[in-house]
Amino acid sequence: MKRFFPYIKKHKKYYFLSLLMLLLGVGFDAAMPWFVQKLVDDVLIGQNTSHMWAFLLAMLGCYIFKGLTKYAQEYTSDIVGSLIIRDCRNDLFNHIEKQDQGFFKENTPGELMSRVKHDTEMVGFSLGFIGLFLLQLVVQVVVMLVCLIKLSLPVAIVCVCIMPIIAVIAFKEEKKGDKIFDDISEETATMNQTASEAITAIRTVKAFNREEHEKKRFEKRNKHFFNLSVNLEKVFSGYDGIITLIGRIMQALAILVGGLMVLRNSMTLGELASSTSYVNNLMWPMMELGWIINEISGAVASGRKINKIFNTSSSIKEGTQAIRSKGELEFRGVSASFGTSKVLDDVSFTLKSGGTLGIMGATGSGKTTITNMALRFLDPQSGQILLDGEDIRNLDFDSLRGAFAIVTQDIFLFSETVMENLKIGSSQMEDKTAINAALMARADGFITKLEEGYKTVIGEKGVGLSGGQKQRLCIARALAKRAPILVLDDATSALDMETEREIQHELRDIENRQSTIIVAHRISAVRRADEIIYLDSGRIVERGTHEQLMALKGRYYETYVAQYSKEEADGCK
Amino acid sequence: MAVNRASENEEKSKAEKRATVARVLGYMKPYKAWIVFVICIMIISSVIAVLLPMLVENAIDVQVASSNAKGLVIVVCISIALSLIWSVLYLLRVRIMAKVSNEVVLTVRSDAFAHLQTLGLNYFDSRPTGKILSRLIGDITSLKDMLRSMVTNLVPNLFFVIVLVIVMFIKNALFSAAIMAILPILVIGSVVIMKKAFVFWQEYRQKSANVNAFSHETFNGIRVVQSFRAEQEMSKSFSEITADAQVNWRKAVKLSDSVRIIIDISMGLGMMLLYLLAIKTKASVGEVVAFTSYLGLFWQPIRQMANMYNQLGNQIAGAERVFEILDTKATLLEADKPIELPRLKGEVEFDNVSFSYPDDLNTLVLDNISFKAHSGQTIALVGPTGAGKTTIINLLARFYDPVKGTVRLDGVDISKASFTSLRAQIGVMTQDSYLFSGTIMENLRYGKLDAADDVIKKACQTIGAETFILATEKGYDTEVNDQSLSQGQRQLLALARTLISNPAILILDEATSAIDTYTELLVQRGIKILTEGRTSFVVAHRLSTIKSADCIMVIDHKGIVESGRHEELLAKGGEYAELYKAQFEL
Repeated sequence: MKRFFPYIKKHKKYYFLSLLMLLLGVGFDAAMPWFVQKLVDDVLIGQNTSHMWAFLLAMLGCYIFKGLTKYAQEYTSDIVGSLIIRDCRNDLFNHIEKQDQGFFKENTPGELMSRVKHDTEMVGFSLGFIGLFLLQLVVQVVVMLVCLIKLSLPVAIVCVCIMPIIAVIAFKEEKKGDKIFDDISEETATMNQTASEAITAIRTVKAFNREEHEKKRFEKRNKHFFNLSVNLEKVFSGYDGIITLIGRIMQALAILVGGLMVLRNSMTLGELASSTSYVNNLMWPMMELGWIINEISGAVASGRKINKIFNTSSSIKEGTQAIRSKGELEFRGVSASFGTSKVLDDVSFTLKSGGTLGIMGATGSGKTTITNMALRFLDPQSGQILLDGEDIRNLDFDSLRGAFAIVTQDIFLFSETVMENLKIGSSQMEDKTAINAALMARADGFITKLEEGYKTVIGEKGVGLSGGQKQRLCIARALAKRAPILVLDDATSALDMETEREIQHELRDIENRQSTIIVAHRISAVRRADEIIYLDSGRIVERGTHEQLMALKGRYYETYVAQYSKEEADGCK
Repeated sequence: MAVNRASENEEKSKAEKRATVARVLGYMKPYKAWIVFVICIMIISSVIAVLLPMLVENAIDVQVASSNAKGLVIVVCISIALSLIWSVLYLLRVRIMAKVSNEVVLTVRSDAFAHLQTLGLNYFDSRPTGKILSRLIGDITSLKDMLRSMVTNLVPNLFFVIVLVIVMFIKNALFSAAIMAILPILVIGSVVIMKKAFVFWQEYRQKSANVNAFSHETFNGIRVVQSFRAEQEMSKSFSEITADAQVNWRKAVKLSDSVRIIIDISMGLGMMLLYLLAIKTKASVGEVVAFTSYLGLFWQPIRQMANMYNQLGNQIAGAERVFEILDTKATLLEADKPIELPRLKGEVEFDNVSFSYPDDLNTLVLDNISFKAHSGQTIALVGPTGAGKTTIINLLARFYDPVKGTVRLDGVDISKASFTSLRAQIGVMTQDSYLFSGTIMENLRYGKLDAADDVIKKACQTIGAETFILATEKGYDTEVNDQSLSQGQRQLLALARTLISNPAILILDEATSAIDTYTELLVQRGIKILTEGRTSFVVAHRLSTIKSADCIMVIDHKGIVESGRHEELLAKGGEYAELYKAQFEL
């Protein structure tokens, strides 16, 4: 729980304020009987009405001020909780954002969302409201106990003997509750993820008429969650019932002991009456203990989940060196494997500033791995990658990732406006630059036809748009970034021929100024590259210019034949 | 289409608060007997709770004062026995309520999820996933809270107060009337506060949903975020969203908590009035003291009810968000007496079909399209992006209904056919095919849950997907999710999945765009074998893959501009010929 101390420290003024209000409230509470007594003794019995209104108003004042201080106390403890939730959420979000790709393969968005939303709430509520309430109870117990010891030691001993039993039970409750809450927190995340999948995949679900299947899948989670919730309440009601019972037994025993002492004349009746009221004030904090423990075990379980995320640090460590890249990239004997299978095997190439590299190869041959490594989404197991002659492991991410503008295979757009999507990562960008990029990517045409043009909000993953339109937005987004190296990872697959041709013309102009990496299946996309590498199972099996590769009559040539025709292939020679 | 973004509030519900509460209570109907039982338990428990302090009083004032040791022991034993009964009743009550209230959540959540599945695609397209999730998972718990406070708080407390008021009036009608005169202040104050706080609770629920949506979306698109170095920007937006949520919560709590000031003021006024009257009527001290203790008993349930009423605002705001899902009408309805389609021969007809999206009826995406496809034919759809190729497919699979015209399969209007018999026979591989978290085998079996292993493996071999599957760690049993494979591999699996579902009509929308030419040749050959005798629709930009289609339809924003076989269209020298030439000019 050490992780959360700084949050408490940061908002300590609210804690102090809350405690101050608590004490003030106790003061008003204590003052009230005095005025009541005065009213009874002086006015009611003594028939002296001269100060009647003063006493009456003073009593009313006590109530009002008690109300105000209690309000302030409650409100401040509520605020501190919500502030902790806010801060913890922000920190967790920032931390998650910096994780490597492996982390996101293990933790799905639905799960992570649940951690950021639900688990922070559990922790914040406990640290704020519950924590202060517990503190209040502890103070109350200690004060009452001290008073009781002073008044009557035997009665105090009864309480002191019984309270450890309650503490042990509470401790056990916490332990058991912690386990159930652990499962609940996990199940909340799983249920979120299951629903999230069914919602994201709604087209696939509908296409296969699998609504029933998804319903069953979700129902299973829902039912599991139900069982956990019911079980939780069962367990807690048991503990809660026992704690209350013991609290009440404590009170009864205290009276019995006190009463017997009065009968033996070792205590006065008045003393018994006041010690009973102390015991009473010792008892009700015990009765509140049940649900407080409940909340705390929830917070402990959630805190552990949050902590686990905080403790994972990205395996990819950012360097410190800052450079302004000219767009020169070199791979030197780079190899990598996932588990047993080699993904890249001794890959070397050099991309000169302003040059173009074409990458071809079969599905799953490692093409995207190369771009992933260049941006350090992955690190190679052996070999070296250099940007402008500097090992990329030494570079800070701004220099490194800032040097690339990438169009990835899987299209991802945010549910923001078209303009905001184009400007992602550089919100200070001028509209002109973004629009220019959209023009180059042949996206301006359909954007201006949208209801609100560039200000139209597009759905999550751009669902309102056609595949080709989304891809054009992704291209425009990368072009707008104007980075030294442009990476096009199968970036034109969803475009129709005509648009593809137009965009490629535009890109050709850019290629002369910018270094470019083109991953593609189409000969047409790579044929003008300075070097083309052809990958198979992570190895470069063919490399050279278009002409050299055609002359080689290998895989590249075969691909050409398949895409065009044998006659043309040979004519090209 | 009006699209909601992650950082922006959704529209507020305009449901009547009272109607929402009534609706939540309606869910208790099946548990009537249990509820009555719990209320009885609650009443007994409250009586015990009142008796216990009285026994304490009796022990001291009567037994000890009269030096009755035996009496003291008896009273103590009685109070322990009553405490035991209380605890047992408490256990019983919590367990029953846990079951009832959680069962209501279980039912409503399942209902809401089932209902979601029937909604049209535009529902999902127009809002971020995280916002739907926050209704389904988070907001729904307010139903539980509301039920519980109604049963274990409102009803027993109300009962208790009524009994007490009667007793008080019998004891001293004047004093009681004075106390009652204070109550309107409390009621009016609570109502005003709750009304104002409710707006903030509604706002807070929306902001919370924004927190969900924004984090979900960012983590979903993390690669884009990281490669565009947008982490800081995202953090900044996120901190604005969390701050917004916090501020609205604060505003709501600030108002809600203030109910307790009103309670204390009412109590103070009550006491003042009581003493004033006592002094004026020269009442005895004993009378005043006795009445004061009644007042203590009276205020406790009143305070609890005021607190409950106060939380109601938050709960209603949550409940109405859940009901909104249930109240969203499915735009796509199954016919009243749906026709069960027999195994289709595969005759497809579009008869003067026009289409526009439900929330933008003025823009026609398809305008009066008609065509026929015969059984066993392969129809290719080509044309510029955004021309409506995918829309034609969406209509054919009945993801949407046309605004005008009819789509027929084997002469039957598909809007009259049952969903099951229709979709089971149409195999669509959409552009954004999704892989579920599970094994490769489970994913392949998604379209036909009873497919035999060797049928599945055979299909994978035929389209050339088996090579990479076997290369994964555990082959067909490798766990995958939507993020874990390369785009091309995902397409191969999605394609295999569609083929395994053995549809009468096959629709492939850009099914091979991410697959390399070499594998694609294998895939094409495989598809040919597997689609033998089925009517198939193919959308593709690579014209090489559709040359052999029986009919190529060129779709433009104007509709179908040309159709015919590859050679015919080339000879015609129209749009298709242009497109075909384009790919060699690249």
